[in-house]
Amino acid sequence: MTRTLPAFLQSDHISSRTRTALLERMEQEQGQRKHLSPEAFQLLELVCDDILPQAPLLGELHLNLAVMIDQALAGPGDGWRFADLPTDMAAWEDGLASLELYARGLFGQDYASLDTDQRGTLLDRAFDGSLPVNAQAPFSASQMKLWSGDLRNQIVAAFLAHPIAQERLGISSSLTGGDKEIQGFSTESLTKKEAFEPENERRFSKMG
Amino acid sequence: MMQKTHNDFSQETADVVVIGTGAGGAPLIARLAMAGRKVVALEAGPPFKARSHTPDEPTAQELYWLHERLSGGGTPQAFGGNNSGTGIGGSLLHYGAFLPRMDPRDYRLYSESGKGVDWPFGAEELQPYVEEVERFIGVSGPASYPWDESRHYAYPPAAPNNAALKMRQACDNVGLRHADGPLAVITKAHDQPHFGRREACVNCGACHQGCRNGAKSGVDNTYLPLACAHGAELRPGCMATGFERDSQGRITAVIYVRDGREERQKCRAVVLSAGAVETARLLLNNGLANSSGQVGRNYMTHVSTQVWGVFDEETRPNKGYPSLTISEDMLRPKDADFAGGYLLQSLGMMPLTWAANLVRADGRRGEALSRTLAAYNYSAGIGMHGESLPRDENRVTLSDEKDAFGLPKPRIDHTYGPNEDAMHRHASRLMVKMWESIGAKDIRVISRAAHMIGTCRMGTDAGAAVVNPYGRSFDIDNLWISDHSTFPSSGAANPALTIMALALRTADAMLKVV
Repeated sequence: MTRTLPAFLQSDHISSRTRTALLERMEQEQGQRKHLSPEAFQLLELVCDDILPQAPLLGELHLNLAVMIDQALAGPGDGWRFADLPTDMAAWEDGLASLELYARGLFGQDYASLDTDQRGTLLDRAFDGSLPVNAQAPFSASQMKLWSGDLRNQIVAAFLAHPIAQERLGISSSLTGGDKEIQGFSTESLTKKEAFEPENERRFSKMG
Repeated sequence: MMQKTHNDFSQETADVVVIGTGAGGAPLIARLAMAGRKVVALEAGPPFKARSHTPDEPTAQELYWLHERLSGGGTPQAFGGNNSGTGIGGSLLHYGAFLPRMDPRDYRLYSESGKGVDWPFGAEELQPYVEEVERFIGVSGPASYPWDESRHYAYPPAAPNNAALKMRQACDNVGLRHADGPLAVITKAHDQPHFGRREACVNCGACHQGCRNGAKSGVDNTYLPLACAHGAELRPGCMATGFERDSQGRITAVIYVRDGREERQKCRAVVLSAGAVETARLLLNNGLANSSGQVGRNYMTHVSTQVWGVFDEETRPNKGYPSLTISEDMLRPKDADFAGGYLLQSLGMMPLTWAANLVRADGRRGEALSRTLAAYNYSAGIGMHGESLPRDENRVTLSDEKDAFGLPKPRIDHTYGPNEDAMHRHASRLMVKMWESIGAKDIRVISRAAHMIGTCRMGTDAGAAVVNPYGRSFDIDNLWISDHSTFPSSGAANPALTIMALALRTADAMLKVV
């Protein structure tokens, strides 16, 4: 689906460096897998949607979070990793391969064939560290627990870093000020929205 | 805006080489340079331009220390955003600028509780330095501070955002005193000597991504320009890797790598200001200053549990100074089942940081997660920083893996003990009760640790400490440490102010002998 440029990118409340970073990210998100293996990448695409369904937030539009994660994994990282996991790229290959093997161990089917509840059970048990022993899987249950935190973090980070998600959720965090003037947010506005901030569509109504 | 460095001491013998230009290095560099010493500061990272900082969180990771660390133990800690920076100005480029003073009782934790250790001196010893730092960098705060009537802040408080207002209300409901917290943020424009114009805070909320208008009081816009004006040389892009020593074992030069080439800076004295992990790594890898066996030990953090909730009205948590409201009432709670205490602060937050904390701690996925992200603009939090006791298993060691410089990557093991668990439970109960009292929905408790403290403890006993109470190595008399590595205990306060105050005190001690 074609992307419409979010209006806030043209605001004079955004710096050119920030705008460039967001535009590059939009372009990158429409690119291709470059780093992960095809098998790992295909599974990641499914897992992204199972962890974070986008339809309730974006409607018809669907962001390629797996592509964004694939790119981020080749970047400089954030300066640390769990000592019990291998380096980032290897950890994602191993983590995804393990997820597939645990799926077969638990349900006798590959991940893609599982129904929603089965996938949920698998992802929850991975996150809790309660997966049953599986001698074939590269990662133990405790490693899956650590990697599950990284996995979920990367998925929500990729989503929220995208300007379309920011626009739809009404997030103004990129609008701290322009190049000439760093406007910030007026003191009076701290308890309400300013005109230049994107509207919060909040597709999910009040919490139940 | 940074003053140009004109001096080049690379062919000379420097009086002092300082490794690191953050909170531990910068005040000391300035002090020594002002006293006429020839100072070279080696900084692993680049110089940044404040106006080029960006609130885009993935891009702003350029301010983090990106040389990989291995995080182990039962409660492995996240690095980067909460503790470890790079570049001229160090971690203060991305610190939150919440600047409480360390409570006098926290210097005497062992005497009070039998847990942890005492500092070799009390709060009164550091007080003049604390006040000097506050005066010089610029700190905002309330006209009257409820927990210390004598205190005065030069700038009026920053404007409250929704999280700050929510916490005020919650404190009133449960009977806690609250105030606008002390912030290293100026709320009126100021012409900073040797730097230039610093604008007043404009509530942009991106303190952790780098302040673009100079309102946040770091060292890139305070102590470092002062140091340069007095002849110090700041040398960015230089990763210190080792030392040359004479027959007595004294350090005669610092070895570092710049642009892939090894270089040397001759010197008469060295100060390590590289932070609890890098300072310890450098000493361990070079087998230095460790006759006590204490280098890398006593690694501490702060218990930094957060509680978040969703409100009916918009909160827009990215706007305004993130954590304005403070309560110090829990520094010694009456019903405590732990040693020490904790500070409370309100929490706004940038979206990726907020979501990362959420998904690492909370198991929700699927539509429940989508719904939570949709409620970002209706969210507000409350958080704490509390004492963390030193434990045998919590330490920095060298791993078997090598980094791009061929140095062993550091491994940091961190596991909460009974004291941290008890404090986490106590604070969680209180913060949940506070958020319930103001009608927050979907209340979530997020267990996490922040900051890094310890690994080169100061003390009076050479067998049990790495440096003396002034930061001087017991083993090598021209080696000093000026950063949070030397803290004997963590205290509850965010460490930056204490680090800067200790740096000035160490500089004064050095000036008597260097």
